[in-house]
Amino acid sequence: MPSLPELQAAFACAVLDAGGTDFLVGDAPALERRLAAYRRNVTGNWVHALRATYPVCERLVGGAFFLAAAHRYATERPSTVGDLNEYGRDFDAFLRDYPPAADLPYLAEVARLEWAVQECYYAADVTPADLAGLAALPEEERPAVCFAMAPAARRIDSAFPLARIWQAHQEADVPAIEFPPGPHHALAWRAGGRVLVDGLEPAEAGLFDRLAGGAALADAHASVPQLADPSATLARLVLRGALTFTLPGGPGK
Amino acid sequence: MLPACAGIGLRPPHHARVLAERPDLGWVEVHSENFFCAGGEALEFLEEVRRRHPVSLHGVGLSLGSPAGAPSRRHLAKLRQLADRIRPAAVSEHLSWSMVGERHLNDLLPLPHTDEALATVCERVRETQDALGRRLLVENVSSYVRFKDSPMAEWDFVAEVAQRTGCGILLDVNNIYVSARNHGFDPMAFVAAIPPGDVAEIHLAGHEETDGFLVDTHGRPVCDAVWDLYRRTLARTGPRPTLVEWDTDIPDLRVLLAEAAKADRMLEAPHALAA
Repeated sequence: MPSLPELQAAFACAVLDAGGTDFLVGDAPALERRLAAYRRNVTGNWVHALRATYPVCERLVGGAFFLAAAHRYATERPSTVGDLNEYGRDFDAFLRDYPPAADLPYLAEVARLEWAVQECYYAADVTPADLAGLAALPEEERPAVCFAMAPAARRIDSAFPLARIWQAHQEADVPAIEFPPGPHHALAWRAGGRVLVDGLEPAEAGLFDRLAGGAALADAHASVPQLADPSATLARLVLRGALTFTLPGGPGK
Repeated sequence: MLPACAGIGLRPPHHARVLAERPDLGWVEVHSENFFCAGGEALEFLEEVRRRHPVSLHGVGLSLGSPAGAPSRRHLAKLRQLADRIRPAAVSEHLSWSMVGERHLNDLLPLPHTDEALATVCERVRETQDALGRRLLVENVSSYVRFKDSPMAEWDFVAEVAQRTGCGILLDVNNIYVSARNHGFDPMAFVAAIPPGDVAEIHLAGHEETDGFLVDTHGRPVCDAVWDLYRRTLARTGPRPTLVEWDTDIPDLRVLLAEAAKADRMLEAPHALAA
């Protein structure tokens, strides 16, 4: 007599891979109709999850193309998560090797950004930055302040202008987008519950990455001499909630 | 404890309106997995709802019918984290499986009703109750197919899980009706076999008929036959917290509230007090 895991493997095979059904009650044609209801549910849940996570990808290629890609992904890369918000993590890697998308090299890159957006959406909250405290700090102590990337922020570099593409596809009327040569630097961050994406200039990205990597303010400033007003850039990134910092004597010190 | 009145399944399309209009809700139930996150607006929303109403956390991904493993323990850890944060009035899961090995089918699949499946489910229910430090409610699912080797009746299986683990039963009356029609048994035989004292919650929902069998779509109003089965269930159990679920083609909030009001009228009717 087959064990429970063996029966479950056979059931999964019958639903997804048209495997045999001799362990179930009923004749084959009737069973096939009933198993098809499970198949619609299972694949429908996966496709629904992908559509929720990758709306810009869907807008870029249209519903029919996206659905075909989503079904193929679901077949080739079985879900291993019980929480569908975690489903589709490697959709970008799948799209990179998906033959029908061979002429759309930016598609996988947009998917990579959309997964980062989803991570920002569900990331931990942080207490708002104490900008007044930073401003009140004696000038000689400021260079030693250390920063970190906020939990709800992600940085992505790409050969494609991902931030521009993402922003343009938030609305129904999409303007033509030029692809100037990269690299392009995108920042995703959460503000008021919603995730936003914007492009950074190379020097801004350089400053952000140094600070996110834990560099002290003085060292980060020194690393981007081409940035005209690093304080203004820093204030903007902190106000967005993309960077956090710890004041000397504050928590963690 | 949930109040013995009607509540609604709260889904994202209604989140903003519930916050803004503060409708009169007895209690609400949400899918636990939608809030498996570290922070952000979803959790903030649920915490605000929790300040106003009793909240039930209803899981769909624990796969109680699969042997425990690393993925199920990770899932359980997330559920515990959410429960610690929300302090729900109830936590429930389905008597079904979705995981086999590393593969997850993300659906509520039926179990064979064997001693082995019973032992597996009971071990997982105990593990869950131990991790959460509270009683779990387990729900009977609808099914479209049956296993040949399934010696126990489903209702005996459900009752036995509660008997062995001390968990409560979330009796889904629509699921009983759907399975009864699909497999040709008397739905009241199911209801009659469940000890009334174990029934901690009742679910109501709509289904659809396709290809000569019933599919549990949660996309329609509760049908008359299910309302009738609900009335007869209440006559045995007495008033119980009752949820109206709607998950596909989700209608206007008013439609959902009208369904809940109908359940409330039945809960208040004298025959519901029989037990």
